[in-house]
Amino acid sequence: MKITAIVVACLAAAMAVYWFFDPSVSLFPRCPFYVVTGLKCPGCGSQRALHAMLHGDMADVWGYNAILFPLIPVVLLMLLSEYMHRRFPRLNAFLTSTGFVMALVAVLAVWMVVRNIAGW
Amino acid sequence: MNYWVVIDRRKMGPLTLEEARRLPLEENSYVWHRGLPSWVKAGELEEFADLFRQPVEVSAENGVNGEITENSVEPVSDNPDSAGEDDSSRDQARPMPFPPPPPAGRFPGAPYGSRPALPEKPPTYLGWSVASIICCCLITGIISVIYAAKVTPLYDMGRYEEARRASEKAELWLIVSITVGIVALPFQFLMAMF
Repeated sequence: MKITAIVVACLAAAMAVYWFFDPSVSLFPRCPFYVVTGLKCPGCGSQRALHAMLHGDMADVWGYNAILFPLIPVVLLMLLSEYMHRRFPRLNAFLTSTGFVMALVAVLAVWMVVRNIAGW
Repeated sequence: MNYWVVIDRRKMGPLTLEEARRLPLEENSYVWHRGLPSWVKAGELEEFADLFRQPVEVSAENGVNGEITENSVEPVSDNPDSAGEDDSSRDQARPMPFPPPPPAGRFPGAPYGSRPALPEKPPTYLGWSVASIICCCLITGIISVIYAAKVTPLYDMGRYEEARRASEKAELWLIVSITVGIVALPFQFLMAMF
């Protein structure tokens, strides 16, 4: 639980940073994976999307990293089921099953291919 | 040889004999392996019977020293009926089609009174790991997801120690991922300014 508190604190600090600074105009660092390989990873654009989301510009979020729309609810559901696995044992069993995780990773991989080919 | 066991009304397996013996089995926990016609109580199988003998010896301490061996042997050899049943049922067992599935899903329920304590399921960190892939855009997030995904299957197979270690590795890589991705951000930001 101590780790969880640290993680939550870090996320809150990151939220504050992303609220005050716009990654697309300020001198924010680029994704290291993009700098090295020139390829967009499944998470590229998340910084700009997060800034846009915190300011309510949902159309911009769609343009920066569209996968966030389906993925954020899924991740929140996974976190909920992890911490409340006694209340939702079957939901937790499904969300932590090998099949579901493989599907999730496959979706991310397909998204990476699509956005690099289509230039999204 | 693979074993299947029922603990706390949960079916677990396939397990090696070593893994099965490390579980909190009771004398009347049901066990099955290939060749058995149906679930058998652990106390009736040679390879598990010794697990349940020790308590008998402990309780025999009250007796006279000379009688200890007799007392401790008697309860075990006191089951000629069940042993006989076991033998006869083995004789009746026809060769099973290959590969043999564990006996049908409905296994005999454990009595409600006895609930051997199972270890708590370790945290999987799966949600955080996926979030770290997206937010931190890093290989370390993928490593964390791989370990996180192993936790539940290992736990369900009764391999608690391995599940705990997978959970710890997922946690470690998650911390690495977050450290590199978020904590390092201000430093990168400063370096970009100068």
